[in-house]
Amino acid sequence: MPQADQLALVFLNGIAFGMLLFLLAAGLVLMLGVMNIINLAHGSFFMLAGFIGVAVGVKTGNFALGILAGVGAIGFLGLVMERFFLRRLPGKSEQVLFTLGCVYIIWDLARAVWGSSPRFLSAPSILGGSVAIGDYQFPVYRLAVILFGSIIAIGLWFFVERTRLGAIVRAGADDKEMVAGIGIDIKRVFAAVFTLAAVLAGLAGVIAAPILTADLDMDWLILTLALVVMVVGGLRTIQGALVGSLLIGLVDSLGKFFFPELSMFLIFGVMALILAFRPYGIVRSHEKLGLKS
Amino acid sequence: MKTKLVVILVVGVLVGGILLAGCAAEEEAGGAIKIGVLPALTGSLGTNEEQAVHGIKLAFDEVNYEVAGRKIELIVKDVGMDPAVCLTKVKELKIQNNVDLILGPCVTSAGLAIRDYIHENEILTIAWFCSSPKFIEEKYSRYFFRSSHNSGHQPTGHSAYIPYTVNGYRKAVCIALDYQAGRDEVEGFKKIFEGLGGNVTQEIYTPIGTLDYTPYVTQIDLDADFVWSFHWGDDAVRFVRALDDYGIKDQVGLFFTGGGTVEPPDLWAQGDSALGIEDASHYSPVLNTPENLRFVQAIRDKYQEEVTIYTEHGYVAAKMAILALEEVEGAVEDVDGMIQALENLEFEAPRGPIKFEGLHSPIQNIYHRVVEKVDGKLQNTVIGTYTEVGPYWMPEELR
Repeated sequence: MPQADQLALVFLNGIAFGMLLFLLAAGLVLMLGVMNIINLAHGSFFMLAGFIGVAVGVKTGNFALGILAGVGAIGFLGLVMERFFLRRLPGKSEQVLFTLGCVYIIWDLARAVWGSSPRFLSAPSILGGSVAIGDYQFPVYRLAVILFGSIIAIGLWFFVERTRLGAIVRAGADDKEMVAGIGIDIKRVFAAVFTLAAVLAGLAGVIAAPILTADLDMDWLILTLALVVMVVGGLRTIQGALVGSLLIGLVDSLGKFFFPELSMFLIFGVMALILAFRPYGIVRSHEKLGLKS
Repeated sequence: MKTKLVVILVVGVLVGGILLAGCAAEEEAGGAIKIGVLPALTGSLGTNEEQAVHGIKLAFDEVNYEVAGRKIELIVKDVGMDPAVCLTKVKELKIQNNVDLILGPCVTSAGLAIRDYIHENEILTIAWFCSSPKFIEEKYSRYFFRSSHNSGHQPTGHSAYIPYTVNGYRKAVCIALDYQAGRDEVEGFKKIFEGLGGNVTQEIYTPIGTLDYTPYVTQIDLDADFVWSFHWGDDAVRFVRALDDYGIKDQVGLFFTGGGTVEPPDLWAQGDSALGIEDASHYSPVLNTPENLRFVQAIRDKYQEEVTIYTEHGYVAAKMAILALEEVEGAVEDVDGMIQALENLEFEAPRGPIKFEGLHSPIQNIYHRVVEKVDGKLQNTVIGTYTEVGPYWMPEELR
């Protein structure tokens, strides 16, 4: 019979993992909402940021520099991808196929530079310890991830709902022609959103390194989970991404604890169940990007 | 007119054919020995497989790519992680390159995929892993040898025997990757640990590619004497980190089966979390023997990298080929002679003395190792040696 301390541990862990998924899914949601494309290279951004963050973090011994390097590099990569490639491609399907091509290019590049064995970055020393929960320890770093994820979630909500730029983004998601018609450069909005999404994926990649390790095969593993989160939470809202991430994080963590043999099935089982009863996901959006349903 | 042309053509073809056949025969007798090499360079084992190729090349370098006056030519084909591709490459090597001998592959599934083809075509093959017992049981082929170990038995037997007899552990929790080999390893461990009188109180299986090991490691019964594991690659890294992060490492003993969980290069990614973990394995890169020290230095000089178990296994597979070729004086075409030579091999490898005694999987030392940090680098220090361990070793008490 599981004890209370074990349950608390697994629960907290599910939330921490959910927060990581949220950073990824939020980027996917923004891109789908505004640009109407699924970026299949989103998991590759995560993976590449992890490797860059680990390389810089280990070399300098400074975790913050690792984050800066990973986020900066992926943000720049996102900007370049949007400005020089995505923007020039004629249709949505070409754009999605282009991002698929990027998956393979990034994988090969990462392998050529770092090899195929996983890399690990230690948590920064201030967040290094752990707190006792019953007979077990819970790493402070994962508590920090929960806190940090919450701050980002509130920040994103505030940005999308309460700022002028956010209003433009929401408007862009609703009616691109209208936005362009009132004199707003929709191309710049696209570039900004794609870069922001890339930055979020980069952030998640480096933050995840002390928990999951930087690892080549992470690209598809994490993309699959993020896509499940989108489907479960609702495709086009930040709020849905948050609800979906926490749900999938918890199902993953609790599922592996109670039914270790069924863990992967459980996630997809939950997805199938939600699709059956709420085909638009938990948070319905009426094709809007924003918090009101 | 027409008939004349046909006659000329026929004669021409015949003469040409005879000349070509002559050339071929000449090459058979004293030409280069062609050896196909099958690493999985693309895919998640890429870095490990490059190291295996480095080991192979070092072995041939040491004899200047020449045995008994015959040149040796290596043909390296990347087989990736798809067993079907491996089979295609083997056919290519046979039909296009007409190789005399094959080194590789690494992965058991690839080995099983090519097994029937090499068996029917009588192609001598020396793999550097393919450690499944199938290769010396129902899938046995007289043309197939390996330089590795026999998973589920060797070194698994010692990963049960040492903790029981040396550490005095009685209660074990088994946690292993959830696939056939993982379950076979647990079976092998239980057979000996429970046979000796120990008790396995919990068995936990984790899917390959698990991102977060927290829910698994927090299930571990902290009343157990020790945790026994079979993990490798990225999973090993995340698993060992989680044991440390959640304070489990401080409360129970850790004794793993070798060749995987705390093996470099994954060990280096585990960092200090792996410190103090014990295991049983048939090799350690820091083994303090003249042959190993020489080998480690040679790889450093040639490739500026540290030796891993993969480098060593590649090297030993190539060494087996070279020694057998020397035994038959370069007559690689004499397949029966080669098989006999391989079955009677006995030599000093970096891992220690190795011999076959008619088997197709090595009889070798098993080492009791512990992870230590020396000069800032994690390593598997050897603290005990068990000699002449066969593929189906059993403790005396159970024989």
